Amino acid sequence: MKNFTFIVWLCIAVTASCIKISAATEEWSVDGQQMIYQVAADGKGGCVLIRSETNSVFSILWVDKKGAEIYEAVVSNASIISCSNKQLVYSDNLNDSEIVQVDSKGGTTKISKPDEEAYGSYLGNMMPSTVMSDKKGFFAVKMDVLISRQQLVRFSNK
Amino acid sequence: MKKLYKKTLVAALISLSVLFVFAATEKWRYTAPMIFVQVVADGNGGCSAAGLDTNGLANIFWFDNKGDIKYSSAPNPGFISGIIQSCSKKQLVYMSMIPMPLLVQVNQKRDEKPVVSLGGFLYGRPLPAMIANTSVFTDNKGFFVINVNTNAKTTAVVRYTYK
Repeated sequence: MKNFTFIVWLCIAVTASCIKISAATEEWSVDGQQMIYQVAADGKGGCVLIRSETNSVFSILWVDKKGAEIYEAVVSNASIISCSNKQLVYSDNLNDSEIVQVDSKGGTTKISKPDEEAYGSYLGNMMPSTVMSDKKGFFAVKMDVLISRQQLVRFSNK
Repeated sequence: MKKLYKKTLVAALISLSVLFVFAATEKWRYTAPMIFVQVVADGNGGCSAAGLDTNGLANIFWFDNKGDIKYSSAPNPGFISGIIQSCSKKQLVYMSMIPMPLLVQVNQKRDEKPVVSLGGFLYGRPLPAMIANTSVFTDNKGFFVINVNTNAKTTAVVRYTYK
């Protein structure tokens, strides 16, 4: 019993020391489901991510600088084209090949041409480009070992 | 004859001015016996670079705008291409594999600090994005390239300004 108590206290001490020497501060996190595929910072502390569930259903999630949801949708072969705190643009192939423009209230405008397929960036859904930081902080993918799921974590630089 | 002379002179001057305007200028280079696979500009003329050494280990360098090394990491096993997460003139964040996936934050004083999140481990970029082009080659005043010397079997990170 003494040994167990000692180990628990040792774990707490090590964790506390890690937290103390760590400069970056965790601010919030969002569920990345089974796997996160693409992340784009909006430059103001928020971001958009594309993730997939264990049944291979993909979704796009746009969150503000506090981690609160602005927009979420089920997507297929999607690729983030641009993201700011005012607007999100992505390509999607769920219903038709189209470009989706989302405003800060979650309203969508879809752009598609009957004789064209809109890919956004070529191979963007297979080899996605990412923007992981802004002036005040950065994002990191975390594998939560307790639940075997991923999270996207927001850190401030200080 | 005079007119022809004038025209020739004007043409020569224009050619020279065009050369002057469009010539990129090499500012500095860092050469090493390793393969540089990722360069991330800091936005102010400096950059960080990840290179794979002859032992297959990844080395991270952080350069200021004059090409001086501000920081170099210990060799890292388990190299993947998207090892540098972000770089500014004030901060570098990269993924270390010692002893397990761990994000490292480096400040201007070269202090290395772990980025910690309880209950799991952090590996920065999404895994599918690790194989994508994760480099940032340009800033407002110039660009970086990775040059390969096929005779010496070295690669170099080279800084050019646009003018």
